[in-house]
Amino acid sequence: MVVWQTIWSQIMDLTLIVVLLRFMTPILLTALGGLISDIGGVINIGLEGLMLLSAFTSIAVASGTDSWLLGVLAGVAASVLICYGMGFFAIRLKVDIIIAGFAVNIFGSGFTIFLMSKIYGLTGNYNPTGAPKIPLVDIPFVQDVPVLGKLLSGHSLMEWIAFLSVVFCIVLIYRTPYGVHLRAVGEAPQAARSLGIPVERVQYSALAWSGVFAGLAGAFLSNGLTNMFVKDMTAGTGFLALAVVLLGNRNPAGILIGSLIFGLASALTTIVQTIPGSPVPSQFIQMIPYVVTIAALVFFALRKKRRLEIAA
Amino acid sequence: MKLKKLWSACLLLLSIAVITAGCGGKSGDSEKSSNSSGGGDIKSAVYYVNGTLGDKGFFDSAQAGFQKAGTDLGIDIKTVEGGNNQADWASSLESLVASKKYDVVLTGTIQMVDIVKDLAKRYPDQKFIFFDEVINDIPNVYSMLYSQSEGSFLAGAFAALVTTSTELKGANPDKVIGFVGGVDDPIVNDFKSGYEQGAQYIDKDVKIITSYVGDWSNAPKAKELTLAQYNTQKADIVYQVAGGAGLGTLEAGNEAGKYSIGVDANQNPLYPGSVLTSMLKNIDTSVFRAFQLLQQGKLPLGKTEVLGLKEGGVGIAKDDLYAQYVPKSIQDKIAEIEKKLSTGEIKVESTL
Repeated sequence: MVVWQTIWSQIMDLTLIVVLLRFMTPILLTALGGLISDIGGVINIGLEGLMLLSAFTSIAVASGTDSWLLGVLAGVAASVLICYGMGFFAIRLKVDIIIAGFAVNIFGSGFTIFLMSKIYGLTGNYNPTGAPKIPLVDIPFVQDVPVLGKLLSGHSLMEWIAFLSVVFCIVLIYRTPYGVHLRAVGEAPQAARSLGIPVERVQYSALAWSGVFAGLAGAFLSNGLTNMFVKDMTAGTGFLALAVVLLGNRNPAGILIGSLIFGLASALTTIVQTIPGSPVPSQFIQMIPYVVTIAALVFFALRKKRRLEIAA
Repeated sequence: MKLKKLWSACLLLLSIAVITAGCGGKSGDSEKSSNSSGGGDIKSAVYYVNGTLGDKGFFDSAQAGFQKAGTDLGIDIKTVEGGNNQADWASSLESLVASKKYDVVLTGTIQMVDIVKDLAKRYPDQKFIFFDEVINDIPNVYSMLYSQSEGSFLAGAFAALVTTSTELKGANPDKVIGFVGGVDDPIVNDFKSGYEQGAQYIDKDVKIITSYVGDWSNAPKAKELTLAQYNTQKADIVYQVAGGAGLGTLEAGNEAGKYSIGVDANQNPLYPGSVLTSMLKNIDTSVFRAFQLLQQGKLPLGKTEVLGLKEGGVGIAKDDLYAQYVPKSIQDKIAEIEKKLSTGEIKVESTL
């Protein structure tokens, strides 16, 4: 009973929405990156490692230069650079892209720890005091309106960037010649090549885009959500993002919905977990986001199957 | 054809492995006899970290004590970090033991118990010093346990004093305190139980909110949980037992203008004025003590010792920041409780 009351009161005062947005942003951004690489036929499973690298780079540069913007840019740059390296192995040297992705994950986890100990003499976590953060956007006038204010104002800039990225991806994939090339390369590289599309170049760029978005997500983890780097702080977000790519039926709008579902589940978990004397064992509560993801996957799969049957 | 080649390659590898393993065993045996005459004096020791250093918690703390033992007692020391792949730990520790280069192996935590039990039986001449878990009845293993419930009792009493305080600006009238654990396991729950007992000792009406992160590294999630405890449940102080993730809890406390309690090492300087104190497991002093006793030939190998407040195994961090930010009345009350714990006037029940 207390559980429902608390959840209801948080829906009413919009805390749920605020927490949900914070949870979904890294997943949404990373999933968009995963989407573009997936569409281009070079599925990037190294997202987790890229996020870690970007998270470390951005907090290190931000605290060194005292500028969050430079931090984020450096994080994205590091992530893109690794993507080009990944492309070199996967596209030029024909290493299996899955293996290259795994390598990036292992590299990301190990190299950040290595750099931390080399640069700062620290191990495990880097916790600079007074590092600048990605700012919160307060919208004048709107922030004073009772409900709208909390709904629209006071969110991190990166949360807005995440939403804009969805629009950007829709335009990029479905409304530009580049998008057509990208899809063609992913569907049938041989056919695309025969039409004179530079397959390798498009695949490199698809990987680079995934690096951009994973980089933004990583920077948000260390420089927006928190102001520190903890080793392996992504804790599986990159892999969740890959699940969200499939859950979202491989299109940006679907990914937005998938991330919303996941963010909602995580936000609910947080609420249920902080209710005093909750009778539900904590392990079950922690399962919620994953159970919801599986349930959603099954639901969408069944719906798709039914639609195919009707069409046939 | 291809398959055949693959099989033969596998066979070749296997046979090489068998042969080299056999060789290793033989050379090990011959060294064993020469080593056993060494007796009590300790020349070299290795600390095997099942994970990586840098948790700013008990691995690092053990490392500090180990280094002190190295310099003060003149022992050749080496630290090996095992990484996060649990499957590697047993074999890499065994290779250290089998090398016979080290008189003592220092290692710890619950995940290593079975590995050490197995190795200690198969290498009876190798001495082990083990922290943070019980290993009994193996004559070459000394283990020490920290009474986390006793230390957490102090943390709980401290939290209850803060939430009922009228002197602290960040304390609200609601008698609610928080606890953020890494994973829902027996050790963390022993911390929690002590924390609850301590809080109840001060005031029966104090409510305790418990959340678990689910791992030891997801700092953003720990931060979110903590913010929810502060903002919706009206907690004003939260005690974190969540390793690296717990730093998110401490940051949340600082951002929300509330208070927090650190764990394992002194975390007060991370956010002065917000992290009011830390529950210390003094692994460093206990590791040093163990090496010292071993060198004097007084270490009770084969036994487990529980180190509580009286033995200096646990305690809360009282540095300059503690003196500066914690009201005098709370400091006095804590000192009084410490005395009662040491004399045994207050008994803390452990759930282990």
